[in-house]
Amino acid sequence: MITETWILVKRELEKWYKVPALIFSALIQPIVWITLFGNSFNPTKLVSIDNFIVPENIPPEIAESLAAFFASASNLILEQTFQGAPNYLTYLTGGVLSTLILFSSAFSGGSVIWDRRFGFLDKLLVAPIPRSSIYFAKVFSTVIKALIQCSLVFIIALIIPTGLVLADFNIKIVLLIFTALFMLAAGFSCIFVAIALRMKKWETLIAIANLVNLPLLFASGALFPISFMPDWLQTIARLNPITYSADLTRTLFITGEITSNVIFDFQVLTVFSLSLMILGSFASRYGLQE
Amino acid sequence: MEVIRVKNLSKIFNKNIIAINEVSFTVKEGEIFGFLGPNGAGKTTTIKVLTTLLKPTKGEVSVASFDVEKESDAVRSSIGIVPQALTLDDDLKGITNLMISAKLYHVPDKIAKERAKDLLNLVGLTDAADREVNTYSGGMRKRLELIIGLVHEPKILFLDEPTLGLDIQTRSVIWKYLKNLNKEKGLTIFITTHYLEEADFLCDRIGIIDQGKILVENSPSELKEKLGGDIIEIMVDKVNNIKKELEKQSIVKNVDINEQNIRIEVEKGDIALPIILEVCSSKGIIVKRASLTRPSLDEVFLKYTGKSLRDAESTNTDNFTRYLTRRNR
Repeated sequence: MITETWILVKRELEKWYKVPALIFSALIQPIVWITLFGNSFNPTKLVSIDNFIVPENIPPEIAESLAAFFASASNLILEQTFQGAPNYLTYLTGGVLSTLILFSSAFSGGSVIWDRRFGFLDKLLVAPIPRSSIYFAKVFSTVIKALIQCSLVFIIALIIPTGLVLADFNIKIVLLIFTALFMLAAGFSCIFVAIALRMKKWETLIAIANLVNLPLLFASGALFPISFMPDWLQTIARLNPITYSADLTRTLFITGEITSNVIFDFQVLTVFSLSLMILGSFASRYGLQE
Repeated sequence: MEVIRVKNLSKIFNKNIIAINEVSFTVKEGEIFGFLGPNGAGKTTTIKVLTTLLKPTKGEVSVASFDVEKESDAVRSSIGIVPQALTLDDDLKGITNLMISAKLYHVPDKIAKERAKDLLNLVGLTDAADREVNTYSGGMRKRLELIIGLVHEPKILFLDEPTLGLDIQTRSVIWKYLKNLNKEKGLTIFITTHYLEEADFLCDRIGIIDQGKILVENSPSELKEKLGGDIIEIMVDKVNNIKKELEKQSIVKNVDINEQNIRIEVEKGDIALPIILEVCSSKGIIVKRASLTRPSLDEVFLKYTGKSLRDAESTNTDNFTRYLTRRNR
């Protein structure tokens, strides 16, 4: 089972790394989120003295204290609402990594439909290999691709000016972040590949992916704190695994400490991904049989 | 020994489309068995059931003495498949495609490499092995597909319309490989085709299938013999009493005279023709024209299905044309 899965994972990866355009085009979207969205929509800039018309005739000492007030208010917002992040981009990056995983998992089923169309799936189905190895090969190759892309985005976020600022950086933090992102990716691709197993049309998959991607993104804590949201949306966001992986990643970026929140996020992600893997291995048994 | 045994097999899609209807046949070890029939006759469905891609709706099917439903993994290990549609991964090299398949069939690496070398050489793909499959021509793809079906040395090889859409040269090359494999390694081959020449050249036995039913099952030569012998037609200047003279010859089975045209049924046309010409000239009759017709499988097909294979094909084409016209309106 593991041998066969690995043979098929290697096939997927070989097809992938031979087309660098594929890898880099998938990076464009997260980079756009960070550089364009993160810079133009920076909520801390809203609370800046430049956004207000200060009368010209007020005494200089009052103007000075006004400026000081706005500066401290901006810091206070970062402190209170954005978990003490040094800047909004640091807050945002954790969310963008999770979003990247959601988006690449959502389209992961596409290669199943491709293989079905081109008959390669039939060749696998007549080979003496467990059905689930076909399924898990798709899942794990998606996970590996998504994690490599995450690492690239992470490096880019570190490089750009006023980008990601890390409080602390050690192997424990890196491992924890990667495991969390791994579980998120595994969970999502388990669902999307399972859906694609019975699908004959590529268009249906795109429609489904587009249908769920944006709602899942906005109903999560990926871009803003969920405390900004109305109650009903907060409830939905609390059921969304992206909220937990975003929270875990950014807490570790900002504080560099494994807090009780981080541990809770981690537990939620473990339950999410394990239950979907079990569901997926059942689905693969029926999904591939006609 | 019978390596494929099919008993009362039916496959019904969506509860009302009957693709195969109560089909029974057996294939012996070391035999080339052909399934002959027009498009849509149920050939591919049958092969899909035999290769565990589809579950039978009804009936018993065993391949390599394993049940296709209960022991599907054992069946899969003992068979090789060359499917009708191409199943290669276009983005990968020819050799990678071959090696992935070998690994999936649990062929040890070292043996797989040796076999890959031999097989690529066999079908003349050694030079192209390191190229991506999307640079291959149709014939090269099919040849690669063929050796992929052989890399794990299966007991039975299934070929679904292996030469569909290939040019004559490539087709005869593939026929030659198949004949050799069968002769040298004793490989059992199950082949579906709608080319009569293919069935005639390759198969030890054929089953004619139409609309989901097997109409007859026998060797191509016996099927042709049952139609009666060869037919010689000659055109002469005068008839005289030639009929009597011809009927005296032991090789002649029947003589029909229609004005100047004489239709003679004989056993072996190539031997009979000079004898007949001899008889005519000895009686002073001048033969203006002579032709020899041997019954082809097309006539066999005509006899059992009531339509020629080409007609059966064209009915499908007509339906398709009609469908297209309707859609365009």
